[in-house]
Amino acid sequence: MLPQAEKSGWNYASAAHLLNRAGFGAPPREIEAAVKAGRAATIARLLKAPAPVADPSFASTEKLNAARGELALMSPDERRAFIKETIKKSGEDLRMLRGFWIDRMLQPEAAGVEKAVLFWHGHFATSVVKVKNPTLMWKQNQLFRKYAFGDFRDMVKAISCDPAMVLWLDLQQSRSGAPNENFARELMELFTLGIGNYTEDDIKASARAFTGYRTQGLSGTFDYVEQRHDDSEKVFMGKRGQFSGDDIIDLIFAQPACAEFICRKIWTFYAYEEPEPVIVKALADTFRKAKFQLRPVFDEMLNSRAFYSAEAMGTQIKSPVQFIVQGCRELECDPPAPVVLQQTLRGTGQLLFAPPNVKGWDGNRAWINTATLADRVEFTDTLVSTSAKRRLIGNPLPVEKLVTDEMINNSALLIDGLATRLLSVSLDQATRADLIAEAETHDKPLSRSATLSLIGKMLRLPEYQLV
Amino acid sequence: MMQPDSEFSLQSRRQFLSRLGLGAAATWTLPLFLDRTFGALENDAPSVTQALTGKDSPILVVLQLAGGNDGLNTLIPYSDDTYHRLRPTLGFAADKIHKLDDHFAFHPALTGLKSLHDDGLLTTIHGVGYPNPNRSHFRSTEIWQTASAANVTEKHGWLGRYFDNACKGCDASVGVSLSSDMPQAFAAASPTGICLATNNRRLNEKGEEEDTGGSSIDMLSGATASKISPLDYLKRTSLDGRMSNKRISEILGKTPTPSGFPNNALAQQFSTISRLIAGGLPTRVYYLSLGGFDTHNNQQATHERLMDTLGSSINAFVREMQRQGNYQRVMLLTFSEFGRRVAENGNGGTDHGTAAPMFITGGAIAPGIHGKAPSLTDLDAGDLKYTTDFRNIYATVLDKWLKTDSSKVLQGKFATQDFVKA
Repeated sequence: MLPQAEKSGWNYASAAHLLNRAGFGAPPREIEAAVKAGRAATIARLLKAPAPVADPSFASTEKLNAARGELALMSPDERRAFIKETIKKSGEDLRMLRGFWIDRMLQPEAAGVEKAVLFWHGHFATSVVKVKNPTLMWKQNQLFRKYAFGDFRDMVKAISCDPAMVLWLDLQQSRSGAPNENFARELMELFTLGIGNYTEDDIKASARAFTGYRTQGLSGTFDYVEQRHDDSEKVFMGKRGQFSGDDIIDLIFAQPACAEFICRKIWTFYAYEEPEPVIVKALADTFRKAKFQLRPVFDEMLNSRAFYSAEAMGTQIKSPVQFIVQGCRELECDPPAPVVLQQTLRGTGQLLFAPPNVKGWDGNRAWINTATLADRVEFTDTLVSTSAKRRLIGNPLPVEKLVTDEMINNSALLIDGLATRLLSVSLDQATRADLIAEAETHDKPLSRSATLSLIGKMLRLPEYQLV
Repeated sequence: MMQPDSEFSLQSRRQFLSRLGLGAAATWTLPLFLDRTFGALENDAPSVTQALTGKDSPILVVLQLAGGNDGLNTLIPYSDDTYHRLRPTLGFAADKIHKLDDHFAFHPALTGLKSLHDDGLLTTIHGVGYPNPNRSHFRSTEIWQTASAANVTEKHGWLGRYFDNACKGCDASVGVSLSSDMPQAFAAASPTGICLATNNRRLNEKGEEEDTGGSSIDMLSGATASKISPLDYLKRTSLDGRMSNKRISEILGKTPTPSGFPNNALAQQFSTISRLIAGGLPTRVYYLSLGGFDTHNNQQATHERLMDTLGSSINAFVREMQRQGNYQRVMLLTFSEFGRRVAENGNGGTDHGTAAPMFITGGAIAPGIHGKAPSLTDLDAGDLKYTTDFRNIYATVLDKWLKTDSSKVLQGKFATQDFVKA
């Protein structure tokens, strides 16, 4: 068990840190409410069991089933035309889907779950670029939601039968006599154990166990095809038997490396990189004792002293999704229109449903380079802009919610107030003085456009990229 | 290693940034929109950097073939019966391929490379790999990018260590990655290199996806490892972006787009590099990546498209360099994290393998086929045994082309080879 955070350490800064990291941030009013409610209640709210989310119309299975019915009646030419049209349309569906998910992240009650869904999307990184079908991507996303804080072993078994994954890592083609190693390798290397904890022979043996896994064309239902399965004896991790895919996963979970691997990854995503071995060990012990239930691990992490240490607070570079969603929460504005959202996600390097490869996004410093940083600035500049282009994004920023009458009449109060709302690290004196001097160049009370311009400058600060 | 003056320079950079970021007329001009907006740029940044690399300095272009290129269907051992036996559906018959000699041929779609080969502008090296090969994309890419031994994990990239050792004080644009990712090869103690994404990143009103050829491996990159704090890292990147943007905008503004480049993303990136070279950007290393090589199933069509993209893009680049009179200044090399298994799998594809050929072109090369072809029968667990260690290739490039002490960069002595003319 990790040393727990002190009661006395619960304040505005630690509550903001918790809401930022285990969710997507919040405006000051909600942070103050969390301070009042206490750490335990806030964590309980963030880790609440996910309520089921109805499938949006543009990604519903019914639609696929209907399509399947129609397809059966078509001539080959009609079929080709239909599929071509469907693929063309899928670009639009995908854009809507990205917007739909971002909307979920923006809901205060859903933030904790959606943050975990984002983590699992990066962990079991699957891309629509190969899967081609947005609905299957959404089905996989629902799987992450269902298991977000649940049984990790069950989640791994479910993901091995997930149609998008079956297509993504070539289980579709894998059959007895011609096993495909792609899934078997990544299952151990990236999903459960980490490199160095299995052999090439283990990959070959487990690839045979995952034969017979198929997904049905457009409808995207999972099929297990007995005749394609290799039922013969396999030797895996020193054990011998006629292992099925689920047997292989059970054997993987019997490896000591498994709990540590996933706990290290959770900590790295939520707290900081390269956690001390003692932290990983404590979480892994909890994980094993809880029979691979995830919620106790999350609970222990978010309650731990280390989670609120100087090592953790304000040290992470926001992911593009965090940057956008937290920005909208803090600025109390609507999310940008899906087309702008998609452009920004692409330009800043985290296009949802299209991670660069099966390893997912590297995160932290890898988010930032001269190209992605320019796109971040482009986004916040557009957010505060008063130009016609702003209409592309949606409604103008609700400036009146962001500043008080006192603030627009006092430059120091204004800058400090905005810093509290927008920044996770304190400003150095020189930058604070520069900002106040800039505010002083405007007449009081500050006009709407002058206020927006100052907010825009704060959003350009390198400090704003940290959480 | 941090540079001794980095504390000072970061401090002065901070002040500089502060002025720029908050000055009333400051404009964060954007590399992203270069091509669109170069005519209307406004940038107040004074040029505090200088070209340490003159007009005559050597340039290295590194092209990563991400996902593991099938070497045996790239440089085809067509006279070997074992090849045809183990590749019953993927193997190419002798009448369809570009023969180089009595034993080896290029893939049918590598017309562009065949033409370079015939003109004495291409070096092909057999069987490049390393001892104890790793078949994980990520680990093997890391090994190639950091030039470490297979059992050692090294954070910094081989090009990053070159920057650290040989390019102290250079403009960040000494290394340019033509993508939105910074390759791990650039990871350095002192962060160096800029990312320039000019293609396929514009607002697509239709929301269409980039197609990487239906593979699960696109660009592989690694974490950016440096010792400075995250905030200083952000400040520095921000400054580098602004500095290099000014220069690049000017160059692209005055250098027309060359003709003769095919219409694919890789070729367009090569076209951008051509313009930057023509315009005199003081860049020592350009880096680009072509993804989609992880062909576990239905390899034929995907691989053909990739081979065509590869050959035609490199050909266009070389011809443009010749036209500019800059061919003598450049060296281009390709690499992939591994080749693929000798025997095809049952899905019309190939699984992860080991050694594969490398291509090198440029003014200093000794053209032709170098090295020893790996045996198709004397295998290591179904995979080729490498015949040339890639670190010998790197050492040759560093010592003979970039004129720096390779043992410092590679942290050990690796013999140079003769594919670069003395």
